[in-house]
Amino acid sequence: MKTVVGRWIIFALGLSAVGWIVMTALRDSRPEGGVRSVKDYKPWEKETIEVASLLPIQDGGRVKPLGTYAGFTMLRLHGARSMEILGKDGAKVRLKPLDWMMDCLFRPSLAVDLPTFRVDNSEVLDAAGIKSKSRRDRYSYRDLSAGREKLFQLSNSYREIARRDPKLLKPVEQQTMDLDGNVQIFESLVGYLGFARGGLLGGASPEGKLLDLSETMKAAGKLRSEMEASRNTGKPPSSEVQTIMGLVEQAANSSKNSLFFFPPPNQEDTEWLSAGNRIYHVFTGTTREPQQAIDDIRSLETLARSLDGGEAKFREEFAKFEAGIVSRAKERGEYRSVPLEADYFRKNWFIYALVWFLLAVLSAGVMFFTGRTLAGRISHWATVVFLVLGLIYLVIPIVKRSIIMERPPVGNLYDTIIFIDMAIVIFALLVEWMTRKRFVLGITPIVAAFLIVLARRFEVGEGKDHLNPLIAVLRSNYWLSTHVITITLGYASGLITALLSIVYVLLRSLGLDGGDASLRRSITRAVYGCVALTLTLSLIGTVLGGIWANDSWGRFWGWDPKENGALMIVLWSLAILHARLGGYIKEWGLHLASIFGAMVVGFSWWHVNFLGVGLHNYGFAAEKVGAVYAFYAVMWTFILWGGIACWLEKRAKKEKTPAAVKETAEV
Amino acid sequence: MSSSAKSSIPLRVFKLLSGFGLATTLLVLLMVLTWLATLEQVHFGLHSTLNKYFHYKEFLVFPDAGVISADLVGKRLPPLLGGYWVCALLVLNLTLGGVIRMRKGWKTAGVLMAHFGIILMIVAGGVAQLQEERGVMMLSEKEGDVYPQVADFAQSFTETTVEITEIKDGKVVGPVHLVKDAYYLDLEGDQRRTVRLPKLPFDLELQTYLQNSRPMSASSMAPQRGEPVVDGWFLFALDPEKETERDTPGLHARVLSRDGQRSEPFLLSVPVFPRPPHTVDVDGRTFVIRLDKRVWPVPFQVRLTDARSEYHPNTMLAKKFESDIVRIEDGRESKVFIEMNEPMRHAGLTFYQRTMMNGAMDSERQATISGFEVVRNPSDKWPEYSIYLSGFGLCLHFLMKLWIFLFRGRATPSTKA
Repeated sequence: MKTVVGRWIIFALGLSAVGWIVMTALRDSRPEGGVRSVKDYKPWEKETIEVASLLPIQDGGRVKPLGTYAGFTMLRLHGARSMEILGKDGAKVRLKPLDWMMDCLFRPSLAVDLPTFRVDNSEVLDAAGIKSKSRRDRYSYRDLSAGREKLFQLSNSYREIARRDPKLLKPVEQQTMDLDGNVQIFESLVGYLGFARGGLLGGASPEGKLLDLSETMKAAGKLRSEMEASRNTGKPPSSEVQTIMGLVEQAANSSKNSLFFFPPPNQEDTEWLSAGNRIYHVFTGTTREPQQAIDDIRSLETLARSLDGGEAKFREEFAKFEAGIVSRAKERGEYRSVPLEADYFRKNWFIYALVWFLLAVLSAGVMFFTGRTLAGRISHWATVVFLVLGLIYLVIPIVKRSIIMERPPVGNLYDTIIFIDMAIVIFALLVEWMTRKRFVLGITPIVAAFLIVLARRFEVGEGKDHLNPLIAVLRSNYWLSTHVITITLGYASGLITALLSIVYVLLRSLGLDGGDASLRRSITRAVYGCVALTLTLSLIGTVLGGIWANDSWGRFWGWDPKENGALMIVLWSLAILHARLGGYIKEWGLHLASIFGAMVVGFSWWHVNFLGVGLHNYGFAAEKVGAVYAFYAVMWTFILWGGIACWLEKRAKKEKTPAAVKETAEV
Repeated sequence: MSSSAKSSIPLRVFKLLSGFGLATTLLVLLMVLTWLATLEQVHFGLHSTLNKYFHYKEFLVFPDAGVISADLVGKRLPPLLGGYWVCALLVLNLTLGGVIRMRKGWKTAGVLMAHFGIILMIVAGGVAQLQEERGVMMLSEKEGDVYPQVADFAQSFTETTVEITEIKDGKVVGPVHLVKDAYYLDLEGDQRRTVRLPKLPFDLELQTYLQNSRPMSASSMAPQRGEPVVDGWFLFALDPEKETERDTPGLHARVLSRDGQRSEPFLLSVPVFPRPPHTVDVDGRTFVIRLDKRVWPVPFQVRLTDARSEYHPNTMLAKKFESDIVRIEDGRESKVFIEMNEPMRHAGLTFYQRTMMNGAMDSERQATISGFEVVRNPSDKWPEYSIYLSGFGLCLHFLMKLWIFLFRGRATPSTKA
């Protein structure tokens, strides 16, 4: 009876964990608020999006496909990588990042009605005099335009406060600044090709002609001479020249600070050029290839206007434009990873991995209830196979990311999540291979699925491209592949140790192990081995970090919070091993201490990032620290649970055999 | 009767000091201290937190209750043994228990190596705390810029000195006389101390040291806490910076001439920007007195020939900071390249690429000023040697245990409890 109840308790716990993971994953992929209707919206054809996906641009210090840029920009503004609307004739349309980006660049009249902006706190809108909906909802640019000016003013005043002391900023003020920044990004996108669509005058002349910027650029030399002569003589230039120069400046400014489409002519120059750079350089006479610059601007004009001739014509022009950029990027050797990266984002590897892990949870559930029967054996092997498949779908994108980044796989916090996920699955499979007791198979897929959801949520929360290059001091492939990998494996090892101990606590406290001493001993030995592995990896990783720090910052140890966290893992592992060797803790003690070790890992991996001090400070929002406390609370619950179970067991033993008090209680 | 009951007192002490119990206690204590120090530096900055938790002068540490809640900052929690002494006991415990008392054999070879490595590492930390000297050398590519192009000194980050120099016809005469900060660091409130300077025609009376201060004109702001006003100026006390190296200490001083006369008080303050020092005339000789970050000599000259900073394209993200320098020693010149992760080690000193900046005249992003962190640490490389030893030892031990687990453990028959 007790076993049956125990099984149902475990089942309920597992089900609620999986339920939370599935609900979170689904909620993250569904739009918030009602579905917006954009009545004239016609989706882009698939072929057009495919062509656009391989256009290289420079952003965040590296060359990447337009799709990546679109994905992270949409993530930052919209909080998701897809958007659902009702288009022409009420048809449901799901916009992916590239669709949205293409709308912003080439169909701004539609883009302004798309629900681009995610607003998490309606107070931000209320303060700016914008009509709000529910507390969290999505808004179009048109919705926000009524309070645009006020939003800008508020944001400027909050920026002043932040400049004096960022800690004085209230969350709503930070959110106002963020929204203002997002609106500015959107405005720069929709305004980028304004000169190309409507010419320099923003529309056709009464004769129906457009004044092309590319044509004006041909006369840049003459205009420059006139301006120079005016400066020398002190006479103002003619009003026509003044007007043209003002319009040129306006066009260049609106397309200068983002979307660096054009590879520079000089092989030694590293900075790609935006349309605005091209215009400026021609008018200031600071380019080696004025004709190429004029051709680039003309190609943008042709491309922007070709949409009037239908999407097939547009696609043809886009392909031509792209071919020109790609050939120049290839000449510079900067196109190598663009197709690979486009493919990486297209494939959604982590979602597939999540599906495999959820399937593994299901088969583990069956295995759990069917025991050693045929169905049990089949579900056991199915669990292993699903775990291996999930692992493969983790390893492939990690390898691809390494190739794209040209560095070892861990360089930022996002990288650590997916890498630790991979390492935990590998460690778990190794433990299963070594023990053949199945105890690790039930919990591993849940944790693996949880970490994928965590990675996705972290990516959405940050809204930035984690493939971007690293700062100078971190640019060492030797140290990234030794210190960082070792320390990250130490975290993974610490976590799998705690997972095994949680399994032990649950099995023993709920009587699911049937008093099988062999099973208990197997788990205990596995935990002991994993503590030793955690110690080895963390110690080597920590000291390698110290040696790296000694070479970079001139000190072996700087008491930086991240370093301290790693040291704490080492010290706790050492304390467990010494306490065990000295006989101060036995089975229960070892497992409860190892669960506590997960909190030490959690402190080192996540908590220190919220402290706002040290060289590893990622500048996290303090309110998100709640998730770390929730993790501590869960671990304390297991420790408490185990502690009570241990105490009850001891008491029961005493009551049963009063004469056997001499028997050593396992504490 | 147990064997311990028969043990002599020295043997029992030996067992206690070399036992697993002490080892476990010390390891847990060190972890707790590390955790507390990590949280406390959020409120008090790194330098003061380290001094509190890990300085040898601190036998007992009272953690601040601010680690529990920001509202409790300033309140004290029950004391713990200081970190330095925990480490010292750990070394003793490791030596007695992990080396001397431990069984020696091929089965324990890995652990023994690891213990030796860790002892070496902790000793390296102790040596560094007692012996390490750390400063910064700022050099410019161009002559006549805010920093020199060639230098043979480094400036301490936190320590200060009072420098007294005799001047004649605008030139320095004789050696620079230095008063170390140990003579005035403890002068709080109205406390004063006379510093005897037998080689000079006067002594100095020092008073009221402020760890972080700024000279303020009394006309722009009236003294709030009764600070003495000297020539219309007073030292306005500021809260110490969390990064102590950014503090600008201040001090009050008087000149005591040999005939017993006391001069009017004057203010000394570490300058944020170059400022003329205080000048005194005694017995027809002129001296300048100033307070500045302590300067310590480097046994060779360093000339900056090129400072290069590179950013990832179209971003402000630093990609590369590197410098070409010339080391000049006994007239011999050697070209050396220094970059992040590649310091120059020479004559017991290590030069690290610390910072890069533009000169006053430069508008380009390309740096022309390079800052090097200069460190003298006799135990600089010891941690590296220790990790080779303990890493190898731990791996050896772990693999041996794994072998036993895989090939012997499985043979254990399963039993029902």
